[in-house]
Amino acid sequence: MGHHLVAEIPGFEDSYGLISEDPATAIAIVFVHGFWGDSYSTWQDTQILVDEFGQIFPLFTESDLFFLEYDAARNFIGPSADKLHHFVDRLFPNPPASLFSEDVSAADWGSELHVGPVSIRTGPYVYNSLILVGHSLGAVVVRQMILDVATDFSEACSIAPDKKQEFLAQRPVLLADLRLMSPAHLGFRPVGLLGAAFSLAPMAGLLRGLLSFYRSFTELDPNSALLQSLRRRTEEISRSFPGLPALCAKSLFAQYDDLVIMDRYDCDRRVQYVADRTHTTICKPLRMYLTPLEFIAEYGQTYEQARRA
Amino acid sequence: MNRPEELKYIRLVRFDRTYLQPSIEEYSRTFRGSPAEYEPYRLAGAASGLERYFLAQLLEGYFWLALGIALDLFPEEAAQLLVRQRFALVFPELPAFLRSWGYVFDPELTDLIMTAISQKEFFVKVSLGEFEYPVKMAPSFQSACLMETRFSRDLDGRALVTALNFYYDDLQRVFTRVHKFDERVFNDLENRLDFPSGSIVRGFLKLLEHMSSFGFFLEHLVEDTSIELRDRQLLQRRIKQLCGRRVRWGQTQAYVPLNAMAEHLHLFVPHDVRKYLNAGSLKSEITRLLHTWREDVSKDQDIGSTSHG
Repeated sequence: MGHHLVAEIPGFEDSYGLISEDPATAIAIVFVHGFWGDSYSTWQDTQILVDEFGQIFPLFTESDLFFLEYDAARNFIGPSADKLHHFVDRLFPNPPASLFSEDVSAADWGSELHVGPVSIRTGPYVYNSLILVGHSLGAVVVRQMILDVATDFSEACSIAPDKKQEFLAQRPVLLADLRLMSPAHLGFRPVGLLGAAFSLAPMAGLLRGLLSFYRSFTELDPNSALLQSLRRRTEEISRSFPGLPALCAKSLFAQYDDLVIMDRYDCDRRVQYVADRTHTTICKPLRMYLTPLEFIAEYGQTYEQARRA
Repeated sequence: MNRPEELKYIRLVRFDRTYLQPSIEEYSRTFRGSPAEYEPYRLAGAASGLERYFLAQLLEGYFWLALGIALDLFPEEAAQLLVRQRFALVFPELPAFLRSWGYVFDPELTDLIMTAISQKEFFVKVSLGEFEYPVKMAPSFQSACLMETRFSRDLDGRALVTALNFYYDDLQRVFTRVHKFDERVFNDLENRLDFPSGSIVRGFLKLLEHMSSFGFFLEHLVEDTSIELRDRQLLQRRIKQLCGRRVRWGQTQAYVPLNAMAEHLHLFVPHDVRKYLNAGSLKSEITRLLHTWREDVSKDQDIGSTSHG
């Protein structure tokens, strides 16, 4: 069983990485939690099951996983997307070497040991693929970040259309694969108002959100200017640059999701539904519910085919 | 050095950097650093409370190390050096600390540290039960450790843990002195202990989230059939022991103030949001969670009285 080891991400407190010991690792997967979540509990037990089921889902064995922590409720979506952009920029395609190695002798207790630098795996440390996974509001943050980069790309191409490939190479995030779980990209639709939401765990997270005056919550209204613009502009740019992977998200919804409107953008791929899950449990894999891992690992098949080709 | 050995060193360096080192630094800085810088703590008389908090936190770090060694995830010789470096200052203070506040830890763990102190060894081989296939538990150990490290960093969580563990009488008085819950009485306590206003209640919310995540973790640890049943049960027991001072309050005296907080929590929600809340359902959700832990701990104690690790 291959293992992932925890790594701190410099400059991003409470975010963390799980670094694979497999030297063939070339994929970075970034997880972005939603309104009531955090970088641990939203994705709980992904941290364990990617190792336990590494043989069934080899994609994870060859991937480093990064879990972003951000103040989802207190911030507006724009600043959260900006933080995600910095986070991804820090990691992809060239992650900092500190994620992979430690110099034991540099520790104040390590000099007697005569142990030099040790590493999780051998370098070079470069990723050639990126998967962005977002849950609920996190999916909106992912899409907003992609739209910001795509807008920039589109403007550059309009000035110098012949440099499209060059511009794209400068913005590798646009080649990312987007996997969204119960995305709130069409808005929040709580059935029975917030009272009903209290039947969903974690209720304390919701309260925390309420206590912080739910800034991003107001932006999740289906009629909010932000959500409408996000959809319109994403679809427009996708029409101008058909096939740009990061604009064509794939979504997974809980069959009876009481909190978000379930649909996709015109440029997106087919939507998938899963039974017996709620808005908050859809992204938490269990030994009897491996759908979240399957949903992400599906990319692995395409990746493997491309690599073989 | 082979790769598994390297991984052990990396785990140890990172555990020190994220858990032990910050704890000892906080402890030293706050109470042995510049008095002028930390005057507010001293004036408010909260210094001793936070001092106790950080000592307890350090001790918990020691027990995590012991468990990591038992699981063969940390290199033992290096761990000895690390403990000597980090605990040299605090070891002499521990007997007095444990005499007064030892009840916050599981008795088995208190015995472990007292044996180490009496034998003047930073680490002693004390049988806490041996794992048959320790390596299989690396992801679970890592995940639990990550969860705990995150909670220990939360400032509001610290306020609640300090008040509950070391100022229980004051906290209890808040509830016996008033017939109707009064936010100002809470604020008085926070001022006296020099915690920011609202931190105890926010810490309570943080605790609920943590209890929820922790429950999820333990529940699914037991379901992991890839690990021998005996090993699963032993790891579950060890991790519960370690985190006891944070999450096993359902059974202890702390249940009373926690339950009272659940009763009145809706009063802390801003007025314009309160109209959306169903206070009854909120309270019942929270008390359900507290009860779950209460029952869970009772069960553990029954098991513990018949089989001891």
